[in-house]
Amino acid sequence: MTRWQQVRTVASWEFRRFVKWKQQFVGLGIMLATAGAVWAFRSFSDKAKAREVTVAAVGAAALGAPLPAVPGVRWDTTTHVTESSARLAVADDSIGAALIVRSRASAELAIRKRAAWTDGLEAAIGAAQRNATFARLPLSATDRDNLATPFSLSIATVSAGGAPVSRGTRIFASVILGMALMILFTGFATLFTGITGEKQQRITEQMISMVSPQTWMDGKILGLSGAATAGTAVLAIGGFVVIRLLPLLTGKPGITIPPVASDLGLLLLVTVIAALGVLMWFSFMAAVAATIDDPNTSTRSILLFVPMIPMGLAFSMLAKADSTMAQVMALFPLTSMGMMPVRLLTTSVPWWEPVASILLLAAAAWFFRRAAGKIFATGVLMYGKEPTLSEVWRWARQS
Amino acid sequence: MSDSFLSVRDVHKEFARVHAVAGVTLNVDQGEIFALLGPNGAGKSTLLRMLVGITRPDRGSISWSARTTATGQLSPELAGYLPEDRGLYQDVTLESVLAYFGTLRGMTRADAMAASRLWLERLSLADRAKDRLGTLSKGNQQKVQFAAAVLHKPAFAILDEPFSGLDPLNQELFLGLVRGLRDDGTTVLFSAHQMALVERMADRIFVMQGGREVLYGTIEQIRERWGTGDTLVLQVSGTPNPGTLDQHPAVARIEVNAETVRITLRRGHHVGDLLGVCARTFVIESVRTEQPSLHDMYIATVGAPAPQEAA
Repeated sequence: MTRWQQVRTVASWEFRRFVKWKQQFVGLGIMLATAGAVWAFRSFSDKAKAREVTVAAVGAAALGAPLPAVPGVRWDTTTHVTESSARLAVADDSIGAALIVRSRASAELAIRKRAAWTDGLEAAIGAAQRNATFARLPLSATDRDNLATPFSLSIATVSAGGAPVSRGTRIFASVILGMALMILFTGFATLFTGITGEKQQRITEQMISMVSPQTWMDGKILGLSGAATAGTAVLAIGGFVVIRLLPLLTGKPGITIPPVASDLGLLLLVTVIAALGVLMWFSFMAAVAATIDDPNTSTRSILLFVPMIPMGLAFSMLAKADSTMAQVMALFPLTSMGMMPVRLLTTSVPWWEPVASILLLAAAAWFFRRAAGKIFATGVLMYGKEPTLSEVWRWARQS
Repeated sequence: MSDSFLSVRDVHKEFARVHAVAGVTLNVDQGEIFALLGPNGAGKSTLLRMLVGITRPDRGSISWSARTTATGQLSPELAGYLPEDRGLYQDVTLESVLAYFGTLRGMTRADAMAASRLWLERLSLADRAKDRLGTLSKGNQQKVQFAAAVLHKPAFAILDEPFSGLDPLNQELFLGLVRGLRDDGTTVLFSAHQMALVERMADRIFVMQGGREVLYGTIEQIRERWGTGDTLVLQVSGTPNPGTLDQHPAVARIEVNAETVRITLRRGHHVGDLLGVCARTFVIESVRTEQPSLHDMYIATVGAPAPQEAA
């Protein structure tokens, strides 16, 4: 049996141990059911909102403007002409509310409980008054329009290449980062369980009599990173289905998929970098797990959170993907997994940068993989005691 | 030594300041059952771990007359190993863990599945094939561990204390399994503390103490080299009085207990040399002879001060 066959066997075993397709699809079903329930609730709520309420307007003439049209409101200016009659009608639920106008500048809305339509009422009455005032002034139609139309400022970020970066592109980059983060964290939990668990279950001696520690480590890194990726992919597919289904169900416009999401070359590049990053971080965490005797008591478990730092930095740099800092982070192997995809998706990047990033990531992944193998080979038989940091450093240097 | 499967030459292993294995030399021949004995901390498991390649000797050589890996270990397809410190995946089924181990030992998936079914049948666990290991009793888990070590029909099996924790019935079962392995062509090297079992199954024995050899050979050779000959056990009438029998040149030791007299002969002397004298000394009801047991020789040997302390 060749080494690669052994790696493949271990990887496949680890993958099957931690990927339970049935559970994955049950999780997906729950996700879709939750989305359906949210949709049903929203549509029920929208229908409730869409029901028109009758609002008695008492003393409406004092406003100095016609009552404005407000979605969901039907004005009644004739049935209840006194404040007391209107209040009684509100109290016995025969009308939804009563607008009691005190003066041109103030009014009171008597209502049993707040509703969605009340939020825009104040602004609508203000706008109606303004328009009425403008109408009385000796102004041209253009001037009246200018006064009535609020100033609008839209913000568009322009990348180094000159192209604007849409909000959709940023959201897409965030989704990619989020997925990478999810792979890392779900995978690390299984990696710790996988490596320290076998040590605790005393399986290691039997195993390394069959395969070399490096082979075992390689198989674990591949299998467990594959398991974490599969789990995240199932969720991503579920999310995609929800995004595509919701507009069909609700009749509302869906989320616009940005053009970068359909650039297959770019997506492939992003996938390669993310995959190498996942392998590098899994190798790093495998090396850490190999030094841990009992994950319940070891203080080294805190190292699980190390990848949070570069991924968090990448999130914070989403709007500054052109900065020198972002450029450096996109090349440095410990941060490039998060930063380079962000740069690739949101700005124009010279060709050598992703190439250099891939090479450096691959070298780092190789180094950590070797270190994990060396540390594992030496530390795996240390029961009841964790190797010191100087011992770990010495073994890692041998890689 | 042309039929030696394994040759160990002057092997040493130290941990910190403990000389766990201090110059062991031995051969294990093709097709034999070889027992490695010694008190706790004698260095047995350390030696076995070096044979498997888990640790490396500081000095000396380990060589195999079969295919080896680049690092000099016996090829995984040819080796079987049951570690002393053993365990298996608790959350997977019996058949899948056995198939996994078989595959890692070079079997095809189909062969490994077939072998695991065969072994589960042999161990009366066929109906539990789809159960998780964690649901089995400790004894049954040990059976599965044994199967995991040997289902690929290794040419050389290393079994570190295969009988530990087993009840007498399962000890007998394992004894049969080990003999079965040998009959199928597997050379077996095992360590144990159950002297009666070792005496029944081992072709040759190597006793270590303090990391060194103290006894080595077949039972017969060890008995030959042993300081005493057979023991004559007499059942007598009345109160036995050995008189001057202890001065007889054939007698090494006499023990009298109620109506039983045990006379241990000096090496080179035979029961026939004494029977006449005994007949004149005692009223004999019955006579039997005993050879020195491995247990006795072991206790007498390792009970002596250790050549050097080892972990």
